[in-house]
Amino acid sequence: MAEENLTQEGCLKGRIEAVLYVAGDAVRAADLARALNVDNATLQAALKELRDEYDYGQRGLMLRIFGEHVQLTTRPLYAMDVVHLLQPVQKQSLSQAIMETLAVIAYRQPVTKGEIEQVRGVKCDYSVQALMNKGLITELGRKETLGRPILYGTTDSFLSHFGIESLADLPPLPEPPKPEVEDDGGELVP
Amino acid sequence: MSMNFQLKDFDGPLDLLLHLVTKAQVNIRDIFVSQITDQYIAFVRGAPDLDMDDASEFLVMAATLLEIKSRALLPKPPALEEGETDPEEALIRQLEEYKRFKETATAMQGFENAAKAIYAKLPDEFPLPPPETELVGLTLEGLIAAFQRILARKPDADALAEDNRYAAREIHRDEHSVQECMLTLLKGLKRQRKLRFEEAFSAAPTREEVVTLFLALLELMRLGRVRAAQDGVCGEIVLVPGSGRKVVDEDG
Repeated sequence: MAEENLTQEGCLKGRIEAVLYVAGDAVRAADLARALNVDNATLQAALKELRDEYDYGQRGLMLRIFGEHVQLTTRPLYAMDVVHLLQPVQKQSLSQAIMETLAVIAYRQPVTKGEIEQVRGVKCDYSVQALMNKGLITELGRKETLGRPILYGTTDSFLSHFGIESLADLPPLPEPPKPEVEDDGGELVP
Repeated sequence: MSMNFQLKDFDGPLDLLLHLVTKAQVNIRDIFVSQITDQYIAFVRGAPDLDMDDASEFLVMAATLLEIKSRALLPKPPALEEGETDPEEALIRQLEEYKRFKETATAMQGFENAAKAIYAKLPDEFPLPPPETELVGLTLEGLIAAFQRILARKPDADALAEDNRYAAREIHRDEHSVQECMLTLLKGLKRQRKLRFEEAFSAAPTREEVVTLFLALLELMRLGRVRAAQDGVCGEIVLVPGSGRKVVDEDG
């Protein structure tokens, strides 16, 4: 039976839908491909098609693809309808301090705590720990420098939290102001 | 100048400086020709909640600002040494950099709020599949029965002592350790490839030997060094070497 499904695109989309519905949480695309016994390219094609079908009909559900994960969620367009009937718990916003720390990590990753503190001018132990606990950032390894400090980077949960597919979807960092002429002493004349 | 805010309203000295800059509507590059630094120092000095744990970073910044001001008072600023950065320029750059991220953090808040309109279903809960067992054709009852057959072989002296439990007794030092018994079993298995469970014990084992050897056997099975197989419910138990990794030190 599984062999038949391999060749039937329509069936594969149905299988994906069934698994993602039951899973609820985000599922790693690699795990999904293994479970459905299809190669990654076939899965990705089917995922995109399924997503487009949901989008085209403005269906109540949508398929979110972010980083290496996929998840079946509701469409933001219908959020008020969900709220009116079910009163779901409001998701907590991140505090200003934590958001700033996260911004530095997101745009500067992989980054050490020291480098974050350099930008923010304050200790960031609490913010970094809070972000770790929320699963929005993870340790990427250690920087080969004095003290071998931990390097931090964002996770797929981070992408999910901000409703984006990849880091490229983040708002662009404002351009650094053009430095004024720094060296009025001029260069050494040979 | 009125200051109706507190130190703890700010995420550090850069946040406070940036607030003062924004309020005074000056360019970051002009902070040293404006009143900003004076305002900062006055504010930190006047802060009633000056707690060293929270305020040390504000104080470091105040010191930096004072250093920069004192430099400016000199008729001719001392020439910078090679590799030394101008503290004024460094601070301006740091402030500009901080501003970029602060603005971005605000933009990210917009994304965060938009994403709040997305709801997901909780995962369905399923019981975990039963754990896989490595033992083949073995029943606990069979193992216990075999254990009891060994116990039945114990010398009668032990049984006598059991009846006469209030009589004076000698306490022997332990002659068998689990570690030692594990090695004995492994050596036996290496020699023969196959070991009948009952062969592993001496002809008339003491209770201590039986218990220790049995514990050693269980430990080896747990480590995967030995596998036990049995033909039927009360059949003979045969031990064969397992595929587990080497854990026991041979010369230990």
